[in-house]
Amino acid sequence: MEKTLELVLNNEKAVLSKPKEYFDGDYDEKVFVKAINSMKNEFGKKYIMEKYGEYFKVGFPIWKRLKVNNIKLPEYKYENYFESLKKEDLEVISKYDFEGSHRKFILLSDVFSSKGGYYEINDERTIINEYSDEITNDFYKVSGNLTLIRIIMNKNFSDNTARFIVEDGANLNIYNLYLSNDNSFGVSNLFLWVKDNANVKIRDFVSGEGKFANYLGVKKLGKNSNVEINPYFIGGKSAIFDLLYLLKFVGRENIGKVKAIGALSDEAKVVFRGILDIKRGAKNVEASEEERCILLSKDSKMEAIPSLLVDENEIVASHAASSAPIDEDSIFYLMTRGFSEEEAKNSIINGVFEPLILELSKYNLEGLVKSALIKYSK
Amino acid sequence: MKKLLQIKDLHAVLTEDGTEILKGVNLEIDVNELHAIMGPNGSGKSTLANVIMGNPKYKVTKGDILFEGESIIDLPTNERAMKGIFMTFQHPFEIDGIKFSSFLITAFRKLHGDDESFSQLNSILKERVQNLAVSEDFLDRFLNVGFSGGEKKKAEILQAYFLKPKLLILDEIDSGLDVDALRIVANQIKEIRKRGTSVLIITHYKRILDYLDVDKVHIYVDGKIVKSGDIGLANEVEEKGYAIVKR
Amino acid sequence: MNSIEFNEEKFNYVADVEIEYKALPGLTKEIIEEISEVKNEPKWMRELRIKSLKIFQTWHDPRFGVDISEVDLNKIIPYIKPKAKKTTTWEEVPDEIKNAFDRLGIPEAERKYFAGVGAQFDSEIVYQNIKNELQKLGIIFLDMESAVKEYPDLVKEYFMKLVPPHDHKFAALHGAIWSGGTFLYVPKGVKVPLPLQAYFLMSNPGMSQLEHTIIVADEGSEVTFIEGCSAPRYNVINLHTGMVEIYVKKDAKVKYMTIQNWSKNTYNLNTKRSIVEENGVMSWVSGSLGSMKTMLYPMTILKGKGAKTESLGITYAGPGQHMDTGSKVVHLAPYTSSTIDARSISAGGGWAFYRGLLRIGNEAKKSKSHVQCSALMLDNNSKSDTVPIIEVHNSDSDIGHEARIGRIKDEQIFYLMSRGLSEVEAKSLIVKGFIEPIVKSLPFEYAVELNRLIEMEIESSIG
Repeated sequence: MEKTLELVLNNEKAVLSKPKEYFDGDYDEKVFVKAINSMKNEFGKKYIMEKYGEYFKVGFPIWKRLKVNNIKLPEYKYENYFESLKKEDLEVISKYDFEGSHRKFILLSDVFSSKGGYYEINDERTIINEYSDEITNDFYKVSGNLTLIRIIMNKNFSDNTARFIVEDGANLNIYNLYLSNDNSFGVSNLFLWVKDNANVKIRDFVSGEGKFANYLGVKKLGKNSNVEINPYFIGGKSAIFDLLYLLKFVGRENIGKVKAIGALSDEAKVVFRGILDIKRGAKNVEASEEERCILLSKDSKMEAIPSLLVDENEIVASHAASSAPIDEDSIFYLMTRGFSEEEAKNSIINGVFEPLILELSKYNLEGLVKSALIKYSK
Repeated sequence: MKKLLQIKDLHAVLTEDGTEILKGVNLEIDVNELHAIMGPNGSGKSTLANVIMGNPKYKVTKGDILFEGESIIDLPTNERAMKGIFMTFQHPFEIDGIKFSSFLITAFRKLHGDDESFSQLNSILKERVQNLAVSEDFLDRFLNVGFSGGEKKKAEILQAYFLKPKLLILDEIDSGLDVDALRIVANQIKEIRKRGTSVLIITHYKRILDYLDVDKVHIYVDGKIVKSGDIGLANEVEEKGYAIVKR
Repeated sequence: MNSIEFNEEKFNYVADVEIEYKALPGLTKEIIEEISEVKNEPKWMRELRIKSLKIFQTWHDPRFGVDISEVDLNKIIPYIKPKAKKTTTWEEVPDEIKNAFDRLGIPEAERKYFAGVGAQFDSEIVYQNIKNELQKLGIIFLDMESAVKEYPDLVKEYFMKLVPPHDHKFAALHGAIWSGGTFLYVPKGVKVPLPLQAYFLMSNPGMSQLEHTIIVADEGSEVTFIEGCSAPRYNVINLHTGMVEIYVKKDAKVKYMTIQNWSKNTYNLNTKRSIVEENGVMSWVSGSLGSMKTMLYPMTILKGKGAKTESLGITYAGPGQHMDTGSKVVHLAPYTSSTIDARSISAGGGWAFYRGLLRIGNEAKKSKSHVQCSALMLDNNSKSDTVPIIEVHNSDSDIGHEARIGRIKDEQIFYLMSRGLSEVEAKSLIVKGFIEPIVKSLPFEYAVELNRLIEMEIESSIG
């Protein structure tokens, strides 16, 4: 299983703190029986039975920075989960597992998902998946070219997990578009195992007013791969976005970049956790992470916990984080050109999201970003 | 009388992957001689300088290098420097936090002991800098940090003068220099030559040789010296290109 | 999420949780009372010790940082018992320490003192002159035991007020068994003409491992304080758990310098904190070279408008060392500013971990902060981690953070060797360049000594 943090040097281990857990509001045995009976595919059944063995022992975490301590799980429903799973598919998916932001949410989607499938992509394809207040679990094995668009609309609770094997020479483009309502709580956990010469581009767009724990882990096993992650966030009211990006370098000659940017209004808060973990032997790796936050209101907050964990010295690694009000010189400049202060600020913030808007317009999805901008960039 | 430098059938490979770069180089340089090695880009002529100096990036697989009659191929780089071999670098490294002047004095004392006082050495440096047309704080800046391309080359040649080597290897000292800087560097080389220092100058172009008295010119192609002669050979190459030596 | 952060749970919050505390069977209320009795302490101090002991016995180990399960607390008991015999001899002092004394040219008379085996090091003569001069200025500069007796009310106002016993487990232990240290009070407007060194006041060898230091710089005053010294120090017990509390009043300036070089058997779990009032300035300069494992996060609370802090730090993690260090700054008032420049070197299998915290509170309008972390890894057996935590709870502050991990390139070494330097000399030259900005800010003799220490460390790391 892929752990998020491993702090070890030879025989020496660092101490890691674990969040406290609670069990209130969890599904009981009856729901599990329902899940087992709903699943008709025998391999799917096998999979969820095995995962349940761990599920009931783990509680829901009390996270220090996200502050969720009660959970309202949706009523269990089954739509179309691992329906067409074959024996060889089960063998593959059983091998790939990870810790995520917390094991509980991975296991929750392993066992109680309403939707999800095993996809093998050998050709060129675009997949659009929409989720709304659902528990889902997907597995993608990509050896061709895949563009995946995940649209997650969260009103109450959602838990969406996906795993990806990115094979030699594959191209993978992911857009995660996340919209959350006030008082909602959502969890998303993605993990990618990347092999040789692959190209991965991920754009996250996190918006709204709810609480959201977003986890994206990438393990670079092979050589010469390029992973580029661009998270964008914009939110208001009492939104808390806890965003974790993990790049684990095992193979040589890899490039990995995380560049996050966003703006917050009202009392919204972002927690940015970028982890660059470079293992011994991962020579000639180029790793960087960068975060920029524009706080638009006096009570909005930014927290950053960038981690560089390095066991190999033949590498280049850096991180940078900043928080500042909108640059006054830029506002002034635009105002000398006839913009009002309000317009100047708006166009500066819109400019930040422009690259994303351009990309999404290919799929007629730019409206999601534009309406969030109108709502929160005041 | 032993030759200053003798290179005998020298073969060397890249340590990392074993690619052969030197494929049997033979060369002899005597005291008070100036030799030039000319060759096309990518022929491996800079590798020769690095192998003489003992860069661990390369491994000698065959042949020998003798300095004053003794083999040096098993010596670490600093001991070769102490024997009196000095090489200027094409791309000298920037080292933050180390003042250029104190670096030079430290190196001088490594090579020549600490008989001369700090202030004596410092005043020699100050005087030498006058001839280089560089900014006043040249010696007070950190080693090569923020130096322009030309300043770096001048800093290298200043080191060459100050550290008094017996054999000076100039690796593409002329690349990236404008005419004025080139003349300054060439004048410095001439002054160094007055002490009887031997020079091996590695270059792509003939223009720097016009300033100097060259004893021998070697044409270097694909890992070995293919033709040797006097300055006339350099003129020929300048006119007709390296094609003249290709079989 | 799983976390590598500081845990900042408050004492009462964890009291109801199952915890893995290590009670010390031998460390009883009676022993604490006996210590206090022998020292002839006022009642409040005795009560503070007993309260601290109670807290210590219910506290868990820190849930972050280095693994300290091997700390041998039991060795402390016979050591702190009054009138107990201290049995260490010169022969027991490890050779590496004796060699280091040679290399650093520590005078014969002082060696035994640093090794923790000698009789009292006679600093009285040097100190006497300084003492007279300071007295004229109204400065109180005393060892902590004397200060508690001579100025009980003044000391009580500050003692463990900034770091209370329930701050963490080792703060509680410290509160119970602290011993030795320095009390320094600089009156209003007084600028202390020379750097004061704790060194002048050390009395009981070994006891400096549990020392308590308080500096109070009253309004408009200025002082530079140097903690300990860079000579390697052999520890009788394998734990150093001292505490430093610094109060910087309005318009005052304090500079606190330290080069830590405890012997390589030591767990260095030290706490340092300062609070800065309006327009005050607190500067830290720290070098952490010694110890087996260190957890140390000097913290500055910028409480008054316009308060400032700067922190320069070098951490060297050589073979077998795990150094978890970093700066904490909390901005609580408008127009406060902070700069942190943290550099670390890891070599020969050492582990350097930077763990910092920068918190900009909601009230800290127009505050500024710049945090820079650089790490140099000398080889591939070592580890270098950087985790700066940044919390900005205020929209018009300007915050920047950068971190870089670097190494010495083979070409750099080759270049320097071609100028006649050996490999070790080349590496230590580059390391010296890397830490130059910090060394530059030290007094001359410390700078020289630090450079020499780094050279020795690199030799032993590469050698």
